Amino acid sequence: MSVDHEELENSIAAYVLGSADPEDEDRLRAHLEACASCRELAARLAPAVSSLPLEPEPVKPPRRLEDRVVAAAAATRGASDPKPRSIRRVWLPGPPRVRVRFSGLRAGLAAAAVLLFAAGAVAGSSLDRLGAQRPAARPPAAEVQRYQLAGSGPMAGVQANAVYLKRDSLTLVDFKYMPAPAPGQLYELWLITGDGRAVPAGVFSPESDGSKVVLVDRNLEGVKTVAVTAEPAPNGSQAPSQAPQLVGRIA
Amino acid sequence: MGDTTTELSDAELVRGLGAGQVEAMRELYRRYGTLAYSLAVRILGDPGRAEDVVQDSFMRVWTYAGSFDAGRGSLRTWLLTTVRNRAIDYLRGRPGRERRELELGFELPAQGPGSDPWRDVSESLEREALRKALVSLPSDQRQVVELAYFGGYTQREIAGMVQVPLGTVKGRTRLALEKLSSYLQGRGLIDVG
Repeated sequence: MSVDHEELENSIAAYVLGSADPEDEDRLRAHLEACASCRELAARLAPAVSSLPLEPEPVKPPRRLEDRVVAAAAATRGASDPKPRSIRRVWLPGPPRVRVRFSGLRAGLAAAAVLLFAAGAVAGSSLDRLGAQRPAARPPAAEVQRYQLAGSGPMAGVQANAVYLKRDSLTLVDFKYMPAPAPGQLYELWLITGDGRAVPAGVFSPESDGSKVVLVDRNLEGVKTVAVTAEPAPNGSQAPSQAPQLVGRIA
Repeated sequence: MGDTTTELSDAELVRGLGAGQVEAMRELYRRYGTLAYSLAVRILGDPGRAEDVVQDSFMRVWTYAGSFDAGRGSLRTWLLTTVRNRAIDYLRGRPGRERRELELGFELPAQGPGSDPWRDVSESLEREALRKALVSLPSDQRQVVELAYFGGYTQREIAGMVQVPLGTVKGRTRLALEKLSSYLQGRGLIDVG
């Protein structure tokens, strides 16, 4: 066996472990297709890797997690063409209800924030880290605040994460696994102030895969809670007509 | 589906998922929810993020159940691989592992039907053996496996962290996996065909 091939075999082990360097993955994948002995090696090592998830001490998940998972599945049942998430439209909240048209710097900021959602970075990883890869889009860390909304009932499975770009008075709310609204209804986003006033912040309908990104083009000064209700289409309501089933507190 | 779902094989469960049966999703969660959540918490150290990762991973299986080939591997492996990759993506800000989740064709044999108690016992035995196998590894080999699998670091990153040549890290990785495989196979806990 050549030294080169032994090095490749060692790299195959790393690949099976999910630890290959990204720049090597295509080469290793191609080699696996062509090399029977390396396929055999991968087949021999993979079961051990498949056992590694059992190493952690079992942690009982909260009861609500089952409800979230099942509700999210129910929400997407019947979606005719589930696709990877994409951002197709951005809505301007509040009256007047027209599509957003940004110019200049705000267009760049909005686009950068939308890209962050599209990259899947906002929900869990560091906005700053991703921003570092795209210097032009990087907002100062102190200017970015994140919030989560929690659902109940039919909204139990919804994931909703908001990012507030404070300096630019922009908030993006990223929804996933939203159930389709009842016929004749859509969803309305509300900003609820400290004195209990509900300010309409936009209406929307989720895409067929239950996703939607809503852009709120105003600052959140004085806002204590963000909430979502189902309201009559096409214009929503001026005040919530029901108790919200999706709520997030603004710290 | 009701109570009978506990007797379904993975292949039957996947068919239910592919048909959009929500009860199949509930059964999938009941079988593997704790494993998935425990893995996500282990990687992320954040129960809230772990919930999101688990939900996303189950939804991926739900969405792509029609692509699953039970002859190529177990449902548990597919789901937990997805959980691991999602958790690492959250942790390390490195999306884009979707392709491999469906590509991996060298897996554990598909799990047969069985009651929940048997599954729990089987997992417990496998966990115990795995931990013994990990402890039996030289510390530098165990370190590489833990950094790679639970930390999500690439071989090059690990080489930088532990300050050894990249080739050494790859060699340790292979040795570690060979030993783990041999140990688990010797106890009948995995079948490498």
